[in-house]
Amino acid sequence: MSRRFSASLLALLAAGALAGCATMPASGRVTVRDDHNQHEPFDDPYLRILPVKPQQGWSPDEVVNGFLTAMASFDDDHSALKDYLATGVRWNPGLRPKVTVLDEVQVPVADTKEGDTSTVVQISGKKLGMILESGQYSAEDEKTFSESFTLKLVSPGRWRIAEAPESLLLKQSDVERAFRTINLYFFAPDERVLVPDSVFLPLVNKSDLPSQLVKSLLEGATPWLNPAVKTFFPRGTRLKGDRVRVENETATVDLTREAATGPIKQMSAQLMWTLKQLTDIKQLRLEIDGRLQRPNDKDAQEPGDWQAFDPDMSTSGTATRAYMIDGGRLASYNGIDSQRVTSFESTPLLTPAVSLTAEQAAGVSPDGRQLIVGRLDSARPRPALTVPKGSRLLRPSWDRAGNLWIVENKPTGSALWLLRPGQVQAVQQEWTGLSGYRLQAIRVARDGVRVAVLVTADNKNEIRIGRIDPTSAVEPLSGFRPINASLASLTDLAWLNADTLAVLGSADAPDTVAPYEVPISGGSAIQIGSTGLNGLPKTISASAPNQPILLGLDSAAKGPKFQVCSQKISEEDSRFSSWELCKPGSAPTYPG
Amino acid sequence: MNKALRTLRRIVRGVWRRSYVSWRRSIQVRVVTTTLLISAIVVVVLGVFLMTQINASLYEGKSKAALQQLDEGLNLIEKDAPTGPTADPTADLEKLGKELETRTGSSGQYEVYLRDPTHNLYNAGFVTNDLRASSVPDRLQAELARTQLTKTRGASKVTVFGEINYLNKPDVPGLIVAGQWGPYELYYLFPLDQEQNTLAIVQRTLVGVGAALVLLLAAIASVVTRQIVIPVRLAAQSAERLAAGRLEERMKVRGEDDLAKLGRSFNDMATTLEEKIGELEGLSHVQRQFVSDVSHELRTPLTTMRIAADMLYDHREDFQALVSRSAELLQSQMERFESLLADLLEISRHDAGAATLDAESVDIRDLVLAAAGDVEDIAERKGSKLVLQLPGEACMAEVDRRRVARILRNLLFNAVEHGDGKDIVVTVAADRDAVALAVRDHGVGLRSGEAQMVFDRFWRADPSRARTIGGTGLGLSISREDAQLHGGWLQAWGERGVGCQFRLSLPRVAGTELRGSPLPLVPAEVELTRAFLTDLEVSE
Repeated sequence: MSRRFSASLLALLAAGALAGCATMPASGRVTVRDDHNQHEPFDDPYLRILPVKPQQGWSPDEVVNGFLTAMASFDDDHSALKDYLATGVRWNPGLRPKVTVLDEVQVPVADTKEGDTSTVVQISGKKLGMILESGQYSAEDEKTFSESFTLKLVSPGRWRIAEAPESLLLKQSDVERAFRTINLYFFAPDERVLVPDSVFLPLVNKSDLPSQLVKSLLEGATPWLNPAVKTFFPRGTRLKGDRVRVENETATVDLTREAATGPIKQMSAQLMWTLKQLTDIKQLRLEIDGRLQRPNDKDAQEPGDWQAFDPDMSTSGTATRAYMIDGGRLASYNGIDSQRVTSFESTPLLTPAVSLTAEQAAGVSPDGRQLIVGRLDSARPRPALTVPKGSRLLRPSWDRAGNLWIVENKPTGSALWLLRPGQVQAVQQEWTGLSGYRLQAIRVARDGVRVAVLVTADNKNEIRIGRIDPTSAVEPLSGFRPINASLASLTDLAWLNADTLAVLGSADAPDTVAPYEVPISGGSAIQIGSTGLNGLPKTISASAPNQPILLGLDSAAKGPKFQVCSQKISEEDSRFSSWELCKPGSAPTYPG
Repeated sequence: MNKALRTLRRIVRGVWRRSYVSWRRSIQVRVVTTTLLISAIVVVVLGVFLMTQINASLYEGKSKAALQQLDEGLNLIEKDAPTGPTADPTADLEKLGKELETRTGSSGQYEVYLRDPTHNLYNAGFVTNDLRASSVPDRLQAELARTQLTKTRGASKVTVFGEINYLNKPDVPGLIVAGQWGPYELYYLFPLDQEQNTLAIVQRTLVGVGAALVLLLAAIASVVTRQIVIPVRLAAQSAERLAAGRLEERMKVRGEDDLAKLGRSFNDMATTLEEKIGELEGLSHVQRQFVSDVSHELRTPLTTMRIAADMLYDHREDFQALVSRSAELLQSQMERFESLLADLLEISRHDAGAATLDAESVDIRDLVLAAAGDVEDIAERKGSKLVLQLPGEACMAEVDRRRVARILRNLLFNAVEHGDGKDIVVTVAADRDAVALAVRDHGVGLRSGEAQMVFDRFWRADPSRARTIGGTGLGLSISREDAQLHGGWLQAWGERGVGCQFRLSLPRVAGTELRGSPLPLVPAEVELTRAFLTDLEVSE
């Protein structure tokens, strides 16, 4: 073989290889990427406002305007604020500041005369609520708010703020821009499930977020939820080195040695559930005083390890079969057909509720005055409570422990009854918080710690979230606080998952009631499903996760007046799901 | 320190010399090195060219995409921006910012900075994610403002490369494009770290592939040259062996290529050479045999003639004067003929390789004294004086007494004949391995080049000069053969007008190889004068 021949062969091969490299594939096998990433609030891109430095010759009101803008900037530890403060005035609100949320701030033009060296600018606006240091948001009902800023002339043409305000004053748009809600996870008192605690965290920077979350978790639950939950971190536990290290999607949390006395599994579960909300964290390594803890004989824990503590109880074997009223009788419903429950064959019911274990059912008699409780498999149901004429019972709600919570609407106000497991008759409970209002619905969350109610107050109904406080023997339900839902004509609600409610209401026109997703942290409501409901929804029921939402409909079309419609689940977004499979029946319900 | 430096320098020099030597000696090293060098240069040039091409196309693509993005953003502003004055310009700006932000996605492909300095006095605009406003260089803003002034309609666009700063990330190089629509200034910042990574990967790959390619080429060159060099080396070895006299040496021939042709030609040459040399050897053998036979055959008549001549000579007084003179002449020429014949026989014995060494331990001084005694008479007649410089202790050596005595006699007679009546110095010296004796005369000396010729048979320095003592012209040749038979040397030195010196060096033990001589070939006093003259020249 001559050398020239081999050289030309080589050249040919090289040319072929090069030509192969230079082309993009124009055909090929279909590849599937299984991506189950949840979309978390911190994944979205966000916007930051850039403050300006106060300009020479600004009037006092301009300085106040600039100061208000600067307060909305969290960059570099609020460094923008410094330029507005007179020398000697120090103010650093920190990373977890107390925030007053305002709407429509007015800054009046200051009238300063020649020669004035100090002046006061009083701004006014509507106060929407407060974000506390713990991150808890408490809505306040649009009270007027005013704050006075004292300004000093530090040199000609330079007015500066002489006294720092007590809290950051932010407009609602600023809060929406700069804060995100995120859950901290604590244990329910029975230590079997985790309960999310929604807090507001400033979007200071993404890389510091894991540390922020862990530090907030170690500080404990917000004052509102604190009495009802347990944390397993021993008192005084801190984050060692003040930082959570994240490498290759693995977060390493190093706790101080106080944590050594705490139970590793529970602490890990709390940390894992809290941190897994960040998309870039897939694994957790827990260290105590630098020593790696291996609760599952694994160095790195994964979210699946602690799935048993799911607040939605998706794994703990709770029943997911739906029930409904078909022809006035309780029937089970598999999404296509309904089948009457034999033990309730002779008991007409109006609104049923099935216990989470699907062993027991309760319901209100057609006259609304009697609560009937019975086992699904055997024995005749029997009344557990009868209320006097004029009162009506609401659909009762089971909690995880098997307690049945019943609300009686009296002509003036309401009363709370509780049927504990094994008891024959329901017992009335102390009920100070809401006894003056009439309620439209009560639902206990699946974690058994939180309660959502629909309250009619001052001719306006609103959603309130309360907690079940096991330590208080006298008043088990307390701490009701409204959540911001810009919805009217609220009709019914259900827990969609641990931090979202499915609510029937209307956003604009009062007569078009539709189902909405309402985050309990107080975000904006999102409509579930496209329109096209042929009638007025009356009741809603939901079961987590991945079960279709069921609606009880007052049909406007021909055919049966009452219909049950189920949601066709869309993978993408609940907004794009449609309603279908409408069947005759009413009051559909999932266990709970 | 100094020492270490020196050691280092020595090592470097050693390595350099060694590589230079192998460069000079080995075709393979030369070919491989050249291939390495040239292919490295080609690969580097190609690599640089490729890198610049890839660089250019990457940045061009990015710039195009960036400008498209900017166009899109500006269109969006044009569509959604309020046309008249509004109550809350900050909210308007934020709304636009939000719309632009939702288009960025969470992939972090680019960041947006939007500002409206005319209507928003209390803020400097909005940025996405962790971008710092300082990423937008002042010159870009100034340029944007300038182009906006000169432009009457539409949006102006400016592009620049710069550092993109983040709140809590390290800076990355980036491409910044800016455009203005109405009061709105829109900046898109594209980090180029991905591109940089790609380039780094490409560069690493190129370097790796290039290095591999160069090494591969060198290996190929090495293999190919080996195929050439090994047969060439074998041929060289064969040629060396042939040169050393092993005429039966042949190359192995395989195949029909160029090298096989070389081998075949070599073998043909060797065969021819062997034949010719064999022929010549045969011829010279016949010749030597002839000389030897002739000498032997001459001997018998010569003996008869000799007896007759002797008888004539003994009775010369009985003859007339003329006849008596003839008898004397006959006698002396008879003697000369006899010695010539003896010498011829001797040398033919040497030529035939029949000369044998009859070695015994002898004190060289005794031999010198004996020879000096023989020559003394003739020397005195010539007017020369023999000066003997003998060492005090015995100079024992295993030699053939007869042969060494003959050498001595020859040298002394030679010195007397050419000594011009001046002193003749005989020096004897010995060291551990060898003994040497030098015979120095101060006669006419030798011309340059004659020092070798003196040992040729029948050579004469001056053909016109008559032989006075009657040497046969074979004495020095025989002496040299004798010396070589001992494994020793017989060398001559001579200079016109200064005289000659003959040096005989012999190993102390017969048969051992001689490494050096205890005496210098050039007499010490001549060497000294020469050095003195050179010094004089230098000092002048």
